[in-house]
Amino acid sequence: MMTTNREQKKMGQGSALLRHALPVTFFSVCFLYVLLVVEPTLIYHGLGRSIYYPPFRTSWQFFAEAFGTCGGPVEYLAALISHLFYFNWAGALIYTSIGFFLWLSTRSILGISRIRHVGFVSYLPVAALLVLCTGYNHQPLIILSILLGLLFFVAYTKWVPGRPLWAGVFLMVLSGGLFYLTVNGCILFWLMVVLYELILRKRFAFAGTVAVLGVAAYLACRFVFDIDMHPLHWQVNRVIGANSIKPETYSPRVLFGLYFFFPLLLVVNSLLTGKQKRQIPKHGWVSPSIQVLVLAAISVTLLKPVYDPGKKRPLKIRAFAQKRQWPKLLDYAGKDPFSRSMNILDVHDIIIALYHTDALAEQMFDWPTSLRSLTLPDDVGGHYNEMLVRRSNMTIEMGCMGISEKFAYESLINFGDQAKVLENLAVINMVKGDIQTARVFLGVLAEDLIHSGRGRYWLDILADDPSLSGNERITYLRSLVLDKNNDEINLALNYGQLLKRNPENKAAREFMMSQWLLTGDLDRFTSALNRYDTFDTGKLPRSYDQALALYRLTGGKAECRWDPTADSYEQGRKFLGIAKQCRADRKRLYHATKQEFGDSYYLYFFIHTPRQK
Amino acid sequence: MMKKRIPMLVAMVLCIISIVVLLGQRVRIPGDYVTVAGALRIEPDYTDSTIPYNIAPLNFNIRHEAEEYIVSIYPSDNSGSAINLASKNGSIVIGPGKWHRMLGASKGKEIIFSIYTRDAAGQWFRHDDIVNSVSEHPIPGYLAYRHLKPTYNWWRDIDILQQSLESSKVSTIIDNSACDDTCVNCHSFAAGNPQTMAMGFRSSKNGVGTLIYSDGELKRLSAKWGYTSWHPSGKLAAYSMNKVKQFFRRTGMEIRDVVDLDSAIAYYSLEKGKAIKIDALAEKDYLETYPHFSPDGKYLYFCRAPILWEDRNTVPPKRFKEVRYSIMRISYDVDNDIWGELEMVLSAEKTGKSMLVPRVSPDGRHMIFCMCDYGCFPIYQSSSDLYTMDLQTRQVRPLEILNSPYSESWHNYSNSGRWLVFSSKRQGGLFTRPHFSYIDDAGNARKPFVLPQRDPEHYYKTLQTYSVPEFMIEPAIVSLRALSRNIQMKDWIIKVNQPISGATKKYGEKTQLETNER
Repeated sequence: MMTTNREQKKMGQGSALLRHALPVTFFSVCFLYVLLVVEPTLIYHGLGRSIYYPPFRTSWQFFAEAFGTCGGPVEYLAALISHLFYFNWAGALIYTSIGFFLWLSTRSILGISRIRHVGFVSYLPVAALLVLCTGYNHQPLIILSILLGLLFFVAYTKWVPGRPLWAGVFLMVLSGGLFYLTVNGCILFWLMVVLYELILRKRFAFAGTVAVLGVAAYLACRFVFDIDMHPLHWQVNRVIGANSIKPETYSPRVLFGLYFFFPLLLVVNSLLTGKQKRQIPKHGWVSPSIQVLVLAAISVTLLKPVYDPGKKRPLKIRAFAQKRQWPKLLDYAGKDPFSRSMNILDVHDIIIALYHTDALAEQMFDWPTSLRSLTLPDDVGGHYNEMLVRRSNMTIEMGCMGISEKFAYESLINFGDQAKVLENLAVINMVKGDIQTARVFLGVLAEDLIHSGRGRYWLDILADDPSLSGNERITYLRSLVLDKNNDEINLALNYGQLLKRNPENKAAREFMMSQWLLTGDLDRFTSALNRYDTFDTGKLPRSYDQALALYRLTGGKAECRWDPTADSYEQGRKFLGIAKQCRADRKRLYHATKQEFGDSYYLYFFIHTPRQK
Repeated sequence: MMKKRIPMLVAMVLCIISIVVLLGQRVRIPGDYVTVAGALRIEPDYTDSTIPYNIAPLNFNIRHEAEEYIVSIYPSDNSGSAINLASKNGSIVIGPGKWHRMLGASKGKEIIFSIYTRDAAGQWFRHDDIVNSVSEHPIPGYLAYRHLKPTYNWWRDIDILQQSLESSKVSTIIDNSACDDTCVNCHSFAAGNPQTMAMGFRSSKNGVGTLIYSDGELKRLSAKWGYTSWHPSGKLAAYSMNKVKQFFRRTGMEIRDVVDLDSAIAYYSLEKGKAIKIDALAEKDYLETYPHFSPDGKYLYFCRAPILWEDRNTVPPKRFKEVRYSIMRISYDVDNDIWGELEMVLSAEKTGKSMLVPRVSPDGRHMIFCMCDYGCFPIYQSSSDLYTMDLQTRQVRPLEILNSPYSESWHNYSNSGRWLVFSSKRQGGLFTRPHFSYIDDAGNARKPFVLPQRDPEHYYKTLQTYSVPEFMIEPAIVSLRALSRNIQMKDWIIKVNQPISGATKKYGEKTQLETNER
C-alpha cells in the first residue's frame, strides 16, 4: 500500500512537472520565435507605412486626454506597446505576455467546469496571436480589448456573489471599469457573462436581464450618447480601412475567429461537462506528452503557410533605411540582390544606401535598378505613403525644400506624426528660416517615446544658435536651396537649376547622372561628365566608365574631358558583338549576356532603358 | 470610549498636516531682490494688450533661464488680493477662480504681472512689470474654428471645434472621423448665434453639400456653399460658389497657392426654401466672392475681380498673379427681396492690391478687410495685412498693430463691435492662430493677444491650425451625431440643382435655379 502511494505520488509529481514544463517551454519558444523569426522591431518600422500608425506622446497632456475618455486607456496602452516594439526584445516580451494572459484566460474558462481533458486547446488563442504577428498584422487595440474582456470575465466567474442582486451589482462594477478601459471589450464580456449564467449556472432570469441590459447599453451608446461602440470585427475593418491597407485575407478571419473562440469554448465546454464529466480521467483524455505533440503540430500547421520571408525582407530593408544603417542594408540586400520579393521601394532604399556610401556610380547596376526606383512616380501601387516619405527624404538631400515639404505634409496628414517626417519638416523650416514653425515640429518630436532625443538635440542647437548659421548641415542645405523669388509653378525636379545654384550639390549631381544613365540619355550623360574635375578614386566609376565606352562605341560624338578605360572598351566591344548576333531579339540577348554582363551597364542599356524599349 | 475617539484624532491630525503643507506651499514674494531693467520675454506674448474681463486665464511661459520663477498678478490700484504663483520651469498656470475674480474687479483698470527670478546662487531679481488693460466690454463666450493640420492634397482629422473663451474648455461641433472622413468646412453663424448656422461638407462617399440648422431643424442641401454670410434677420444667407483650385510653387515661405478659376454669389432663402442667383453677382467675366451683409442688412459687400483667362480649366491660369479684387457692395431690401445697384467701395485699380474678406463693424462706421499682393486666398499670402476703411470718409489705413510679416486674415467682429478675432500666421508663417484685439470708439485696434490655452506650451506642441475663427454667443446645440448622420444620409433633404458657377451666365440673363423640397 505504501509503495503504491509512493508510486502514485511520484507519478503525480512527474505529471505535474510535465504540466508546468509544457507552458514554460511553450512560452519560451514563443518568445524566441517572435524575437528571432518575427523581429517585432520590423513592426515598429512599418508603423505608418504598411501598418496603422497609433499616435503616442510622452506628455502628461496626452496621458490625461487618453485617460480622461472611455476607451482611452486601452488606446493609450496599444499605442505605447506599438512604440515599444522599437526594441526587439520588448516586442517579443509584449507578444509573449499577451499570449500568456490569453492562455491563462482560456485555461480559466476551461477550468470553470474543472475539466482539463483538452489542455492544448488553451494554446489555440496564442497560436492565433502568433499567426497574426508572423504575418506582421499588428492589431494591438483589438487584441487588448479581447484580452481585457476575457480577464474581466474570469474575474467575474471567480468572485461573483451567489445572490442575484449582489451578482448584478458586481457585474455593474466590472462593466463600468471595463467600459472605461475599453469600450468595445464590454460586448465580449457581456456575451460571455450571459452564456455563463445561461448555460453553466442556469440562472435564466439573471442571464436574460443581463442580455437585455447589455443590448440596451449598446444601443444607448451607439444611438443616444454618440459613443463609438462596435463589435470588434467592425473595428478590424475600420483600422485597416483607415490607411487603405489591404491585409491578407486570413488576418480579419483570424481576429474574427479569436473573438468568437471564447464564447464558443464556453458553450462546447458546458455541453461536454454536462454529459461526460464522470467519464473523464483525472488528468484528461489526452496525456500531456500527446498534447505537446498536438500543440507542436497545430503551431507548425498554422505558422508555416503564414511565414513568408518575402514579406519580411522588405520590412527589414526599410528598417535599416530608417535607421540609416546603409552598410548593413547593402549587406543584407546583397545576399540576394535580384530577389523577386524586392519591389521598387526596396531598390530605391538600396540606391539611397549606395549614395550615402559613395558607391552609387560604381555599383548601381549590381542591383535591379530602374528609372522608377530612382524617381518613385506617383503610381507606386499600394505604397503611396512609402513613396511620400522617401521622396521627402530624397528631395531634402537635393535642397528642394518646397517639394520635400509637400510630400512630408501629405505623409503627416495621411499617416500620422511619424518621427522622421516631423524631423524632415523641422529641418525644412530651419533651412527656410522659419524657426518658430520648426520649433513646433521639434516640440512634438521631443514628446516621441523613441526619438525624443532628436527633438531635444535640435531644440538645444536652436537655443544656442537661433539663426543656425553655425550648423554645418543646415548651412549646407541652405547653400542648395533655390532663390525664394524663383516661384516657378512646377514641382518637377530640375537638376540644371539646382546645380547652377550650387555645383557642389552632391545629391543633385549623382541623381542627375543616374537618371541620364537609367533613361539611356548618353548624350546628356557625357556632357554632364564634364562637371566632374575628379573622382574620389581618381578614375571614372565603373558605371560611368561603361556608359562612356558604350557611347563612344555606338558613335557618340559629344565632347568629354574623360576617356573610358581600355577594359571597358574591350567589354563593350564584346557585348556589342553578341548583340549584333542576337539582332533585335532582346530576350535572346538577355540570356546570352546575363552571366557575364548581368551587373553591367551594357546589359541594362540594351534591355531596360526606355529608349531601347 | 477611547476606541471611538481614535478615528476622530486621526482625522484631526491629518487636517493639521494638510493645513501645514498648504501653508508651506503658499508663495511668498521675495523681500530681498535686485531690480533689473527690461521686461522678460513671455510666450504667448500677453503684454501691453487690452483684454476682456471675462477672458480665460492667460497662462504663459517665461523665456528666461532661472532656477525659480515667481509671478505676482495684481490690479494696478492694488485693490484686492494678488495672485502669486511659483514655478521651477517658467510655466505659469493661473487658477481660473482667482483670475476671474480679479478681472471682474479690475474693469477699466490695468493688471500688473510682476516677475521675479532666482539664479543658481540664490539671488532674486525683479524684472520690469508686464501691464495689460482690462476692458469693461465682455468678449463673446465662445469661439468656433476649424481644427486641422496644414493641408495640401489631402484632408484627414478635420474638426470644427468650439472653445469657451472664459474657461478654455474645448468641445466638438463636428469631427470628420464620425462621418467617413468627409471634409467639413465653411461654418457660419447668423450674428454669432449658433441657433442659425451653416456648414459645408464634401467627400466622394457622401457627396458635396451644405447643412443648415435653423429653428431647431437640420436640413441637408445638395448645393455646396462657399464663403457664407447670414442676413441679420436670419431669413437668408448669401454664399459664394467657387471653382477653386490649389497648386504649388517650387520655393518660398508658402509653396501652396489657390486660384478661383470661376466664382459667383447666390443666396438661399430659408422662407422659400430656395437657392436664388443674384444676377449682378454672377457675371460671366468677373469673379465674385466673399459676400458679407452689413450689420443693418441693407448692403451686401463682396469682392470682385475680372477674369483674365479664357481657359477655365488650366491650373494655374495665365496671369493669375495679376488678379486683384476690388470691394463692392449692392443694396438689398429684405422685405421685398429686391437687389439694388452695384457700387464700388474700394477699387483695386486705386490700391494696386487685392482686397478680400470685407467685414463691416456693427455700428456700420468701419470696414476691416485684407489686402494682399494678388489673388483670392489671403491665408496663403504672407503679404496679407488687415486694413480699415472709414465708411463715411472712405479713408483707408493699415491696422499696423495687428499686422506682422506673415499673413493676417479671416477677421470677424463681435456683436458689440468691441472685439475683433482674426487668424494670424505670426508664429513662423505656417500655423494659423486666432488672435483677439480690442477695437475702440474710433475704430483703432489695440495690441492683439492669442487665444489663451490651459497649457502655456500648447502652441508649440500642436500641429493643428485654427482656421476660420467665428465668435459665438453660446455653444452650438446641434449634436455631433445629428450633424454626422445628416452628412452620411443618402437622400438630400433639399435638392438644389446648381451649376458650379452661375458666373457663366451673363448679367441680366434670367436663370431660375431648380429647387425641390421633400
